[in-house]
Amino acid sequence: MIQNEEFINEFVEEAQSHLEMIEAGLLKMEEGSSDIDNINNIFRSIHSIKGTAGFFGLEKIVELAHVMENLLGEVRNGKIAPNSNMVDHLLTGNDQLKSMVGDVFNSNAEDVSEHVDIFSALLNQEAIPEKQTEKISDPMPGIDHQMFDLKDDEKLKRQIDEARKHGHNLYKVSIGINKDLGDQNLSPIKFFKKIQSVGEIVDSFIDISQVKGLDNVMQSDVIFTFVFTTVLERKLLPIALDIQEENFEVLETYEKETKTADTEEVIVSPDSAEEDEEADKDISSDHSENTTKPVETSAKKEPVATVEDSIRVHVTLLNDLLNLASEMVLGRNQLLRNIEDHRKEINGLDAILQNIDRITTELQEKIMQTRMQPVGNVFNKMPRVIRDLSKKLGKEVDLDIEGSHVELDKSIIESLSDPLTHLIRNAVDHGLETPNKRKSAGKPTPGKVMLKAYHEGGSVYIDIIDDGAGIDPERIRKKGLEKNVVTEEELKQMSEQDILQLLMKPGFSTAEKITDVSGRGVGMDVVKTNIEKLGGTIEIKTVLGEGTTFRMILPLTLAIIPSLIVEVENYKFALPQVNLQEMVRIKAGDESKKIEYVHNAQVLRLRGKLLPIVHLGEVLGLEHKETGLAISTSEITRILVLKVGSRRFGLVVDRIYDEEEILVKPLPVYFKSCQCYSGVTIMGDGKTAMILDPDGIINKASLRFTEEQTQQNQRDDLASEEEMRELQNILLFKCSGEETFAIDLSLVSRVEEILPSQVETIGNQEFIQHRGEALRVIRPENYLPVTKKDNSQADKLYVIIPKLVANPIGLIIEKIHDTVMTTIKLNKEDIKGKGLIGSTILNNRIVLLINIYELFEMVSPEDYEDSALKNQHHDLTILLAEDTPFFARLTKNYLEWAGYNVILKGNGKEALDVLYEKSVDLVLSDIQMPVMDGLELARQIRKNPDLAGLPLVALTSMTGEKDRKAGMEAGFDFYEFKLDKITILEVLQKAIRIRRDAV
Amino acid sequence: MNAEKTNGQLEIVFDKNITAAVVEDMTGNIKSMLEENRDYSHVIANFSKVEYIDSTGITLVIGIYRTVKDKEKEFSIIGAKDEIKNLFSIIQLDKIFDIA
Repeated sequence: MIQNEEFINEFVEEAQSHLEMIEAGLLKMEEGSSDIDNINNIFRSIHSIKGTAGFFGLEKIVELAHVMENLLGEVRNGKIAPNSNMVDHLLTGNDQLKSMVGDVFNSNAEDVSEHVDIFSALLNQEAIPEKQTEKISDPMPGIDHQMFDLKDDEKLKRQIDEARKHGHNLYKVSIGINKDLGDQNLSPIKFFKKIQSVGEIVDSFIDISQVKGLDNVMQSDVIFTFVFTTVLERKLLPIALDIQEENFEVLETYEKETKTADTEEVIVSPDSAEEDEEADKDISSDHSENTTKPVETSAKKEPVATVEDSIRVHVTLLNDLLNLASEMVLGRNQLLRNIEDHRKEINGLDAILQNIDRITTELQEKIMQTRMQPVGNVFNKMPRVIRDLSKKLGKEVDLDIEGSHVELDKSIIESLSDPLTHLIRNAVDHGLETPNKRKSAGKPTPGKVMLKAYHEGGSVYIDIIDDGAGIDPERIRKKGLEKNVVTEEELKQMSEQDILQLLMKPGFSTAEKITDVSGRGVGMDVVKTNIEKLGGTIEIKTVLGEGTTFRMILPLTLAIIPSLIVEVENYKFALPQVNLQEMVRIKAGDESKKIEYVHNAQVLRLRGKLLPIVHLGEVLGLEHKETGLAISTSEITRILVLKVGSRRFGLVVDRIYDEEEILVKPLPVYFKSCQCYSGVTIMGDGKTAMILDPDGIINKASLRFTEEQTQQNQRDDLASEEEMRELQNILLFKCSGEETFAIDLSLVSRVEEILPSQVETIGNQEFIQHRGEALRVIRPENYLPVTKKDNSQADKLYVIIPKLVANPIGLIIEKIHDTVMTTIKLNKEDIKGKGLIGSTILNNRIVLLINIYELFEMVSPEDYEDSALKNQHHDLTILLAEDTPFFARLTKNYLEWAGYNVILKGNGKEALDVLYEKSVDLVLSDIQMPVMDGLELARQIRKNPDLAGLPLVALTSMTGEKDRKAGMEAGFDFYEFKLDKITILEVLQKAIRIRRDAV
Repeated sequence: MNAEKTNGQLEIVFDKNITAAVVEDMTGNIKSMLEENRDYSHVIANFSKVEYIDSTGITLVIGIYRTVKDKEKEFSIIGAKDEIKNLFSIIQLDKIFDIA
């Protein structure tokens, strides 16, 4: 009996994967594929289950597997044609096996007699009619021309139709085995193998009438005629098969020629019929012996092939490894943090730390990889679901599957099965119309369901798309009220997306009648909860009459996520970066961004749009102050703009810290009811922090999103263009560390690809050959406050060669991500450091903007610290009008470095207002600005007698001669290209001097 | 090639590949075997040593079948290798006589 639990478990795992295969194979078989490999595979799998189960004494499993195997054996030998009814029973049998394998220890108590009876009946019933047909043709003497009904006509027709649909051609080939094979020195074994490899024989007959006996063996021939389908073109057929043109004909359609059998009836002798019948019996009884042989050999071969490059490892072991690696990451973070100040004190420590840093990261990545599995593992179950449903509901359904190869963490894949099944059921049951309705709507009768997985950003998207009737929001509204899921009042404030999301509230079902398909007690609310448990979100898109898309957005893995550490009321929290869109800082009195009240709720007016605001402390119950008070008393309010699905809102926090990769640990059970948290983590400093769940926060704060806002969000991109902002062309890249950097492309002369070996070291500096000259190159990560790896593995590097600097130095980078056209919104609350302008968020990532001047100054102070350019007296004030935050910060930065006081304004109008009130020494202005551009500003200044004498310098990216002329005509003294720092500083001095001299 | 008769079953053991080169000899051999053991009721061709069979070989097998059948006796093949079994099943010989 059952000996060893461990072995049994192995059997269960193996059997389960076999059962999956059998199911997939059966479905393929039902689609009309009589692919012999497929049937062989099914057969082999069931045989293998039977064999191992027998070893453990699992009698009932053996019993059922045995009858199934017998039936499949007959199918395999072409004795019984598979039909839909048979596949039904096989699938049911397979299900029974599944449940027995699942509960293997009690499997012997199961009663499988019903199944066994069915299969035995199938075996006999199918065999009887076949014998009968032979009986009719058999009582004929001579058997000069034998014809056999291999498959029934309907099946044959389906097979041919299917083949035609796939562009196959149909040929009838007739060969003399001696004349066409033997005399051409062709091996019959090879010939038929070739035929099987290029096509499929759908019917055949052999004519042995020429061979009268042993006496004329050498003189006679055997004619074999077969009909077969292949993709090969008529022209290629003779070449591919080594046969003559006259041996084959192209068929348009093919039907069994029953007539031939009739005409031959006359000469068949009655006595041979008995023998044939007997022979036939022998075949069926012997066959189980026949077939076991090939099965055993192939079963033995398989493990040999796979053993070499893969091994089975228990999941708990992988889980332990992952946990350890994650702990290791934490340990590393703590080590790095604590030892930071002593790094320089111990020789060689730095290199060791970096090495540990790198290896830990790689170790963790590799372990994560071991847990990745293709989403196909779940998708494969869906054809069965669709098949069962379409039968039950009488709806014809085509299922398209895309992206089965996309990989997700094992734990996610496992939890995906239920929600996905439910959504598929929903799509077929509720989504697709009945065939009649489809017809009257002018749609093709078979409904379409598409299952699609793909990567987007850092997430995996899974779309379940149907081309059904779509969802009528009006109906949801009504239903919602009926079922008391929502109130009239609430509905008024809901956006369409919100209303669709009602579908996923507990107690909601849109089906007119609860069918046994959807009414299984599992609602959409469970789907939603399950997806959210995985750290994913679900969105619904629908067009009435055209169909519905459910989109699951899932993280690649649950274990480690990038997050931003924030603080409120002295508590630190981790916020998943996926949700973070931008950070906003509001100063009391700032008109462009301020907090307003709508419907008694606080909203943030950001670039003309209204965002609902939540105070983190308040939602979490940490803050006891009056909220209104909190805002008016504090000087600065920090707001994180978060996006959950298509909803955006602002989250007010007290302080913002670094970004950190955190290990997500599940919430302890007693925290489960706190909807604002999705997990807990240990930070680099060893302290724990709760991980915030933005979706939960929305629910807790019962935020309402107006229709206007969702539409606004969609128009986001358009709007920013309309704002007349200058778009910047940004190059995104990575150095050896983790950070993503950005540099404005207008600062870049060219980017060259080089090999690491091309970098030469002279003294302690690195150089490359560029256009015949030595160009100094640096690795930015060595100068900036960022991470780095010492012995980088990159096999090629890139050098960014900047332009418009006096002594160019190339930047060595490892990876170019992308170039993007965008308006950069600098985060004020920011990662600061020498050499960096600041940070922004692009494509959901924090990106560091490099300040190339500062960087070069750090690298080579002697070349860049040109004191002559500095204004020693610190008494000159420059009014800078510039709307692009990036350039504004860059320019202000070096003006201040050069010793000027700087007043920064965002457009000409604001600049002019300043001039009326304050005296400045020089105006430095951009040309393209909103409200009032630089040209108008210059004209206004020159018109005003009080200001006419001011030195005016244009600072622009429009360097055409025409633009320059227009600038000079408007009244600028100098017209300079924005980025040439040295020249600009020189020009400033010149301009001030000239105007002074003129006075 | 030799033959052994037990209880009316005449087992002919083919000891080499059945190809055009040897078929004529084999035909002669088999003919005399059948002559010598006239009282057989069932001829069994043992293929366990046959790795390969060509077109003429196939004709020979059919020839034996026809001769045996004409005498209203039975014919079957045992010990056939997978490859040969597969071939015989494609050309439907397995429907004419028993192949194991």
